[in-house]
Amino acid sequence: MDDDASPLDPEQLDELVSADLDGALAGAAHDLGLSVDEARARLDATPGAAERRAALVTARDLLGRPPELDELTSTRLRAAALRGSDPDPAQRRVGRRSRGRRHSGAWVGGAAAAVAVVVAVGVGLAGRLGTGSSDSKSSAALAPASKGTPVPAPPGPTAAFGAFTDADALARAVVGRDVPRSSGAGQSASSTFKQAENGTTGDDQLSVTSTAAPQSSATAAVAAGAAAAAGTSTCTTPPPVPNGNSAVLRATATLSGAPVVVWLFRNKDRHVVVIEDTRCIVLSRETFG
Amino acid sequence: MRDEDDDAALARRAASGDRVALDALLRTHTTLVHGVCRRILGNPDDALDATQEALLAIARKIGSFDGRSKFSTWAYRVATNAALDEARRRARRPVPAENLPETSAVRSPTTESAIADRLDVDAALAHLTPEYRAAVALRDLVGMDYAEIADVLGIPAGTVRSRISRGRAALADLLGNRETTSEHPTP
Repeated sequence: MDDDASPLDPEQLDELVSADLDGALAGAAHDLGLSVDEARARLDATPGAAERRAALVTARDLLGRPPELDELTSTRLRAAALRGSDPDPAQRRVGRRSRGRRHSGAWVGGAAAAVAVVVAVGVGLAGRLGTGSSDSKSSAALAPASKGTPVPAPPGPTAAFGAFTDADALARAVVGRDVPRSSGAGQSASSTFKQAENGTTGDDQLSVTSTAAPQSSATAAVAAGAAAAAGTSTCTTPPPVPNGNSAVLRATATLSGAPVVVWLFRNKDRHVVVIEDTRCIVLSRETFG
Repeated sequence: MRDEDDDAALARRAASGDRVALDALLRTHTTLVHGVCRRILGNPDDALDATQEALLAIARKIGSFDGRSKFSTWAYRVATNAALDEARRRARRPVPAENLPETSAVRSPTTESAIADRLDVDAALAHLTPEYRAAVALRDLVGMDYAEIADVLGIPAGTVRSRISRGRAALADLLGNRETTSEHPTP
C-alpha cells in the first residue's frame, strides 16, 4: 500500500488515466496496489496529468474513427464473400484477392478507374439521353456474349433502372418490376418503371431511384448514360442460375457510380436477382420469395 | 440494443440459409470489420486481404453461429483472427524497402497538423505489435468492454487494459504531449 501522494511515473499515469476513461480505474488502481482514492490523489499530484488526460482523450477519439472504405470496394468485398460462400457450387467463385498482387492502392485505383470510365462514357451519352428514347427493344439483337453456353436473352425490354448505391435496394426494385405479373403487390414500382420504359430520360430515372439514392440531375444523367452504355454492349447472356429459373428481365443500372447489368429470374413465385459488373462478373445474387 | 436485436434476427435468418439476411449483416459490419483489420495491420492492402478473408469466413461460418454471444462480438473476433493471421503471414515474407516505416515521421514538426490524417494513426500504432493494436481497435473502434476483448484475445483483462493504454499513449505521444519512449513493444 502506497499512502503518500507522490507523482506517478509516466507509464503508471497512462495506465490509470486510460483506465479511468473507460470507467475501469478501480481495477487499474488495484493492480498498482492503490485504492481508488489513493490513485486519484496521486493523479492530482502528478505534474502534467491534466494535459496527458486531454491527449489520451484525443487519441482515443482518433482511434475510434473507422478508416475510410469506399462504397464500391465495400460492395465488392461483400459480393466476393457472398459468392465465395454460395452453397451452389456453380455460383461459388472464391472472392479472394490474389496474393501476388501487392500494388499499393490497387483496390482504390481500380475503383477510381471504374468511376472514371463511368464518367467518360456517361458524358458522351448524356446528350442522347435527352431525346427520351430508350433502347428497350434492342436487347434481343445484341452482340453474342463472351461467356458460357449461349442462352437466349430474355423476352421483352431491357429496363433502365438508373443510379443506386445499394445492391439490395436495386435487387428489390428489379423484383418489384416483375411482381405485378403474378400478384397485385408492387403496383407503385410497376407504374414508376413504366415511365422508364415508355420514355426514358435522366430525370425519369432519377425519379425511379430517388428513394434509394438521391443524386443531382447531372449525376443521374451521367449514371444513366453509363447504364445505357452497359446495356448496349455487355453481358447479354444470362448467368447460370439453376433450379428451373428462367430469365425474365435484363436491366441496366449503376451501383455506386459503376455500370451494372441486372438479371431477374423467375420460377413460380420465387425470384433471383443477379447483378453483374460490365465484365459479367457476378457482384451479388439474391433470392426473393 | 436495437442494433443488437436486428443483428440477432438477421443472424438467425442467415444461419438458416437466408442470403439476403447474410448480405444485410455483412453490409452492416463491413466498415468496422475493415477498420479492425486496418488498425491491426496498419497497411491498406493487407487490411483489404484480411477483410476479404474475414467476410468470407463470416459468410461461410454463419451456419455455426449459435447466438450465445452477440453477432458483432463473433464477427469482430473473426476479423481479429483474420488480421492476426495476415500479420503472421506478413511477418514471414520480406518487406520491400519502400514499405518500411519512416520512424522519423513520429517527430516531424508537421505531425501535429496532420494528426487528423488516418495514416498517422497507423504510423503511431506501427510501434506496437499486432496483438497490442488488436486490443486498441476492439476497444476504441468497436467499443467492446475489457472482458469481451480478453475473451477474444485470450488474455487477462489486466493485460487488455495495459495494451489499450499503450496504444492510446503511442498516439498521444504523436500528438506532442510527451516524447516517444523506447519501452513500447515493437513487432
